[in-house]
Amino acid sequence: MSFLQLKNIEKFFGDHRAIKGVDLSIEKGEFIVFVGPSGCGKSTLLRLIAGLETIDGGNLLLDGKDITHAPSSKRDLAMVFQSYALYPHMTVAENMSFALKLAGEDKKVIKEKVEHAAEILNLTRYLERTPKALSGGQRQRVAIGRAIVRAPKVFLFDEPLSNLDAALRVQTRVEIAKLHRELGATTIYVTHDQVEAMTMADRVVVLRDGAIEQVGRPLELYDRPQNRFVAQFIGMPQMNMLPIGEFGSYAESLVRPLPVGGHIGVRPEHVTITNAGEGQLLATVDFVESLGAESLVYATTPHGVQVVSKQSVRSSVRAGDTVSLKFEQDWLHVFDADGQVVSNAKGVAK
Amino acid sequence: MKKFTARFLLTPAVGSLFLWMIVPLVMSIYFSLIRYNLMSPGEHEYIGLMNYEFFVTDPAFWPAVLNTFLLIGSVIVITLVFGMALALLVNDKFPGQSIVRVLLISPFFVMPAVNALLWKHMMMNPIYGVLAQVWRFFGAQPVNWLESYPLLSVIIMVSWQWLPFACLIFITSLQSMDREQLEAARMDGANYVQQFRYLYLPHLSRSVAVVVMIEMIFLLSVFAEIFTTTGGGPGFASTNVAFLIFVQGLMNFDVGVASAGGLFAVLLANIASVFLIRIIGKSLEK
Repeated sequence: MSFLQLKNIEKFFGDHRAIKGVDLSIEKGEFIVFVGPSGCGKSTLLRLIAGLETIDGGNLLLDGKDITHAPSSKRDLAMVFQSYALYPHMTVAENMSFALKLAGEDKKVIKEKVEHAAEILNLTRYLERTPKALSGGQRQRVAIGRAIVRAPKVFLFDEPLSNLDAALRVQTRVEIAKLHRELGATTIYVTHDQVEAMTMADRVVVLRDGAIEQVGRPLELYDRPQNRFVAQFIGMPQMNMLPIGEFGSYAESLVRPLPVGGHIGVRPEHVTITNAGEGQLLATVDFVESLGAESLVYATTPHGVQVVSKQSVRSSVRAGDTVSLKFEQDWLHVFDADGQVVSNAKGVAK
Repeated sequence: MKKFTARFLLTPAVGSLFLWMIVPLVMSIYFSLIRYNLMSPGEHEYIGLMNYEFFVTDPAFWPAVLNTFLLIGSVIVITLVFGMALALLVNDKFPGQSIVRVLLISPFFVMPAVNALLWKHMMMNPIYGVLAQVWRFFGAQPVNWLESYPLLSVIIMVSWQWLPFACLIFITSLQSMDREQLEAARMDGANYVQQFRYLYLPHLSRSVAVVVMIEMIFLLSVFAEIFTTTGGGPGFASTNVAFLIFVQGLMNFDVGVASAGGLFAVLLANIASVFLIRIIGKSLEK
């Protein structure tokens, strides 16, 4: 029996079915990341778990207890909000101890817990300050501290890094991952940033239009996407999708029977630029992005499909050149007309 | 040069504002130092501070000062408490919210004199007033409000007029309340009273300061409600400083004493504002 279980969870906003029957089992101590494009329902799902929105259908079980309709304060969860939602007129210490104070916890115990959390988060020096006197990163840590002090069964994070600048985001990402390792707490983390998803998660849940597209370990999603959406959502730059017709007879050597109207997907790092005649497709180079360690070559095939090639050597091709694209045969994914996978790349197994 | 041009261009505005203030002030000071009664024409000789002495030793003086503070204090407390309660009540969405809000604000658009007449005749009249009807419905003897509780009646009228102002300020302030903070508090297990105590009240503190300050300024000079209803009586029971000045100047025709009273009111307002700025300035700085 898993720790946190979502059984056919549904949510309606008026007539709109925002969450379409989500099933998910989360084990104790797991770090789960909900990822998806904006409007996919990932935040709504988190708010349903937190009890900030009412669940319209299905069941939510935590540690064997049905908490579908329990008020959020009784669910034994703690949430870190996107805006941090610190109480502006309270000091850091008061912010962190608020929940315990309301619960009528002993003052000595509260002080101990707050000091312990402050130590973990490196906030001891700032306990008497108000949030206004703190930097973005420090506020973020206070918000996490507020959650830690409560020692909840599950930590919920709602896009906690989106208000930080790029450098701080990377640093805080590492800190949160480290914190999770130390505390071993079950965590659900919502983000639209696939890098955060890939680097932090034990398992990633990819959502689209209020439904789960795929659940799996980060590399599993990268290597074995179950459909075109996941294939293209995970990975930067995204996976190239070529209509099977583009390849002519070459496609038949890859998969039989050929899915009519299907696509062949290949990641940019598995496309190389060669001299005309050596590859499978001719294309015209649109532009080249040189990033130093790698070059991205954007080229368009005669049918008008853009293909990206990622090369770790500096490329000498120029915009306007006609080149030949060579696809590594072991790294092709085949999708049918509905976007479902027919076969994943063989190269992964090796 | 640039500075000079700016100053030069500002001069007409600053100058006219300065004249606007200084001319009446100087005239009041001048009138307060001479014998100037409209009923006894002749020389306006200099009499020093005698007008001030007359004003301060008038039997109506202390009741008027006390009534002024009672009126201001009660109206501020009533509008703060009920304004906040109403603002919180209409803060959550419900059908017809916008209409209810407009209705809540509307007493503020009623002129003070009209407001007083409405209350005097429609609500508080002991024979056909609405309150009398209510009292009779419960089998009680109707209260003659203006006679039995003159100051309370004025306080009720002025409160009714100023409640929308407080309410409006609180409604706008509540709209800037952070939703995620409330959700965080909910997850922390705060019930509604605790949310009010720890989140709403601190958030509204700045608006409270604004309401107290502005109401204080305007309530020092409450006049129309008293003039149209109780006429300051019975006795001096509902006379405030502003009304006392009116009595001295336009009923006793003693311009000198009235001017002295006016300057006393200025002093009073300044003392009050020093305290106010001390207290409220701190909360505004945050």
